[in-house]
Amino acid sequence: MSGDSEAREAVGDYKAGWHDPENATIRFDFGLSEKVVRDISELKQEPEWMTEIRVKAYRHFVERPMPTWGNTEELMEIDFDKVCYFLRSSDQAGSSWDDVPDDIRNTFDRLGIPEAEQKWLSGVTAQYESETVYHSIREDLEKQGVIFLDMDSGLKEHEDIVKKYFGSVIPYSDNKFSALNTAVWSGGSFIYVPKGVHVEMPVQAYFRINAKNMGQFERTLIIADEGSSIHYVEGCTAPTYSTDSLHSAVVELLALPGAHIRYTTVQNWSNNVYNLVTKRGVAHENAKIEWVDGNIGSKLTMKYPAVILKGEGAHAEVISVAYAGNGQHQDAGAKVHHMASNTTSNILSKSISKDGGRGSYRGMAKIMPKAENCRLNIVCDALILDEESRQDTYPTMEVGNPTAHCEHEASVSKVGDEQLFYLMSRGHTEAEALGMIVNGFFEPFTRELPMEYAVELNKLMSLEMEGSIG
Amino acid sequence: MASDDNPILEVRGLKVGIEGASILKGIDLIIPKGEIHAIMGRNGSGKTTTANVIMGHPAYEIEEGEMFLDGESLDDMEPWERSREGVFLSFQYPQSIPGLQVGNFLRKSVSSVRGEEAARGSEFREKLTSAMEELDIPKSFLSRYVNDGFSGGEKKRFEILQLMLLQPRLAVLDETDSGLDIDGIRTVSKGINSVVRGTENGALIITHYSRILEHVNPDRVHIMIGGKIVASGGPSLANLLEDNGYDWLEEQVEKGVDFE
Amino acid sequence: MDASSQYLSADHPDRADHLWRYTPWKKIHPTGDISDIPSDFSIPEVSLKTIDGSTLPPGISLDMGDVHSEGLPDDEKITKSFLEAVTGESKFTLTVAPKFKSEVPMIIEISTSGTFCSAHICLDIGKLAELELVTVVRGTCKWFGMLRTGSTGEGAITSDVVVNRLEHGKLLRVESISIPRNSQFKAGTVSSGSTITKADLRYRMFQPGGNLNVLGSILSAREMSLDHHIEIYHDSPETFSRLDWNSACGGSSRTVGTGMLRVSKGSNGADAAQLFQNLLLSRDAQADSIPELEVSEHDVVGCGHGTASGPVDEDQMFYLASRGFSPNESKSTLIAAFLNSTLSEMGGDKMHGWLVSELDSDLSELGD
Repeated sequence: MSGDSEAREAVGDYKAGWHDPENATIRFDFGLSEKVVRDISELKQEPEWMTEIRVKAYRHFVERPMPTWGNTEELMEIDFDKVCYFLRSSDQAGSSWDDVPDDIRNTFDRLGIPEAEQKWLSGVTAQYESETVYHSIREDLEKQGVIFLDMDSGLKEHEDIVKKYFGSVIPYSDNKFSALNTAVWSGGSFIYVPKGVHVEMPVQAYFRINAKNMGQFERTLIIADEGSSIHYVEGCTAPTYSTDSLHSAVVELLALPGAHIRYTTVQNWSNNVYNLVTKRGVAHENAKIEWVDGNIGSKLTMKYPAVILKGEGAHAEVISVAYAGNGQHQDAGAKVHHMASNTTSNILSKSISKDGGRGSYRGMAKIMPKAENCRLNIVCDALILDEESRQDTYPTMEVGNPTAHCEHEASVSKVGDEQLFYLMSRGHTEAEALGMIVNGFFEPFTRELPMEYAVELNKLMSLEMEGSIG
Repeated sequence: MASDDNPILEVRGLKVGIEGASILKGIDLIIPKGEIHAIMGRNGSGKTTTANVIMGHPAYEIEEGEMFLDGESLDDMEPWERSREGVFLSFQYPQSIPGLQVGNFLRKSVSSVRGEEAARGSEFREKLTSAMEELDIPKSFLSRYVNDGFSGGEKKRFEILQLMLLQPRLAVLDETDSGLDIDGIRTVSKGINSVVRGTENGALIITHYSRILEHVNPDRVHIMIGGKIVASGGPSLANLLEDNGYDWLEEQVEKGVDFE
Repeated sequence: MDASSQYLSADHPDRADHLWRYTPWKKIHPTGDISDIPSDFSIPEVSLKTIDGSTLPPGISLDMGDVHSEGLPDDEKITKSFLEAVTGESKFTLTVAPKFKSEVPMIIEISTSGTFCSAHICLDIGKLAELELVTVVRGTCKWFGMLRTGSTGEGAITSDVVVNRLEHGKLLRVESISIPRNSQFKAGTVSSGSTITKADLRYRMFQPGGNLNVLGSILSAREMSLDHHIEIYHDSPETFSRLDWNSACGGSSRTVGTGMLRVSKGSNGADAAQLFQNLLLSRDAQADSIPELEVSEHDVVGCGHGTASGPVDEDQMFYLASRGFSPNESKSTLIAAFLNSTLSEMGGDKMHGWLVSELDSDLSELGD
């Protein structure tokens, strides 16, 4: 644990805000260049085609302007020259926690990962800075042919599958940050679930940034073959520093006919992390993709989990919550493209802003002209807890087929005085009452989480509500 | 064959399904001229399906059987054609149509069903005024939108107002009494009686409770369970059912008791 | 700086801005060359009448000449400066005396002809006036630009309906109206004309008690492209706004409804709701909506928006069929009802009757 009192002060209520001393085995200098990109690839001894993609993506990243929408002011503040693009903390990924260096293991112990693994997970991967430090999967799943690896090992051991699907859902040219990720990616998960296999318990990935000015660029690819199912859970934290870090992941999902993928994220980055993530899944015939997405931390999040409904009867579900506190902007949302007939989608977004925070829902829903009988339903609810805070909704709907039923509704409100009064009349303090109301507001999201996460989230939100009463 | 001896409604061996699930499992029903019949049953027994199928709702699939209105087959008739032939359905949950004024809607309906003449001039206005008075519907109703923002009671009265103006050959009333207070039931019953009693028209009242039947005095009562009519009898059958409940009745049916 | 140089120095609009996403400036500009400010604009015939032809009451007048209105701080520079530049001689002010009152709605008839035509109409409505006004644009010009600016007086009650009956061509309509203390303003749009329409309508409630009701009855047929953008600003406490925008989308038309509802900090007690509805009537029709919402005040009564797009409702069709309506009658009745539900809110019975008769003949063009 660090005795750095300045850092402690900055941490405040943020429970995961401590940092460990950095013991890097390899640390790149700050800044990005084609050489850095090639060095990462060489260090990882990658096949040439991957090096090529990285370099192309790098060039695209350099040419591509910053988005002109979203929080453009904050985006402009990102200094790409002050980011460390690769940092190796451990020489290899252990498959037993005993193999993980002590200081790093301590971190994950404190975050409760090994304990959770024993209780309720099918597999765990833990990423520290740029690379995976721990990795395991239950034997029975391995026997059934389930592949669960960190992405670097995935590329080494299953090059053919990776080559086929890498970038097929999110090409590097999709946006500036997908280009950046493709250029410098490291770590992340690679999962393949064979036909008809149901992975009953969730698999979990845990992402931790420890170093200052670190950039984490994990890359995840999940392929669920016909009729299979999997639930993937990821959690993210980082220490609180006075300088910023950058997290820019790319997640690609492929749900083949009849498959079901649920991807749950609880992002609790500290308030100095830029979280600019591209997540997208393709759902084939009768497949189902669910994004369950919680954004509690970070300085600026821009993330719009997307589903391309490519096959008939496919279904998309995006449930998200966002909490924007002091100095935070959660610009989150969802994207669905109905390309095939009889496809359905549900989007539910819940957002709270407080202490000057800003929450935004940004969405795109598209019904293609050839997609018959599609249904789309979007609900966005927002709460503003004080006079400093702000909520926005920016939905776009493009309906090109007359048989579609599309609905969107959004509302922004405050916590009702009568509601607070009622709870206080039952003996709860104002902060407790507010905590209860906020947890109730998030409930449609929380109930979709694994129990441990739900409990943790409720505690976290109750903590956030304390000291909010003035 | 249309002839004077035909009943108003004849349903023969009707089997109906929706989205693959079978709901009506063989219904036979005859309503002679000038009679009011009632179908009673629990929720989910197939009552509303019966009403919708007589009106020709497109969602249902007729698997077997036939229906005749005055001896004419209804099989190939679209809902609007049935309406013009004299079938009327008072909906359990009438649709609201914002932007369509009640006055215009009534005029258009009367003109479609009974011909342009009937919807023209002072005769229509007089009929409308007197029917509205009878049903305690205020004048301001005419400029509202069809069922838009209507209370449950207003919706039911409005259905009966349409019944009185359209003067159908066969009125099918789907749970018109549900959600009405005693006054409402009395008013609505008055409307039903005025259309059927003393004429050769007929009516089929679909209900859960016997209360409305005390005011309209049906000629026959049919009990529907699980998509079949399991018992038929005179008006007293309704009271018997109300006193003893559906479970008892089911037992009696199993024992082979005849309620005629 | 004059309007022409203002236009030429303004930034080009970005398509990321949802105002320009579907109908870029190039597409609605009269010549398509956006560096061009054509000079051959003609002045339309503009007249003020009562809706029933009765004599004009005292206290209301329409005068040609310079206008005095600055528009709103958040106006889009490019279109506004362009319209100011091309309406040189074609400027009119509608002056309504304080406490003016009339039972009969007023009508401003604008009759266009030639190739390019334009007008700037300024509303100067006095305190406590009560007015129902229709502005109807007709004629055969290929491009018509209409700028409407101005303000209503404190406590005034105004219905302000703009009817687009252009036979073909393009319409660029820019509107910026400010709504003062306790003033009630109804802004109606009835559109069944022109082939390409781009409208940018902005309303600002800058004093407490402002009350705004924005209504649209949009009939989109054939190959029309109708793009309406509506911005509503709550910039003061206790302000109220509603938006109901109904578009019937037929033929191979494209209908766009975009909006921004902004509640600024300090607008406590704001009450705002918006609903965009699209009725989809044919295979090739396309309907897009972006109803945006930005709320920076927490002590609000409520702020919400919604969109709904779908085909004619099957259950409503069955209900009408059970009352003897044939499928065609049912469909046209439901389309008319859908458009009428906003149309009938735009003004009193006299205004409504007039609007219905204007729209009636065009309804038959919808559907497959």
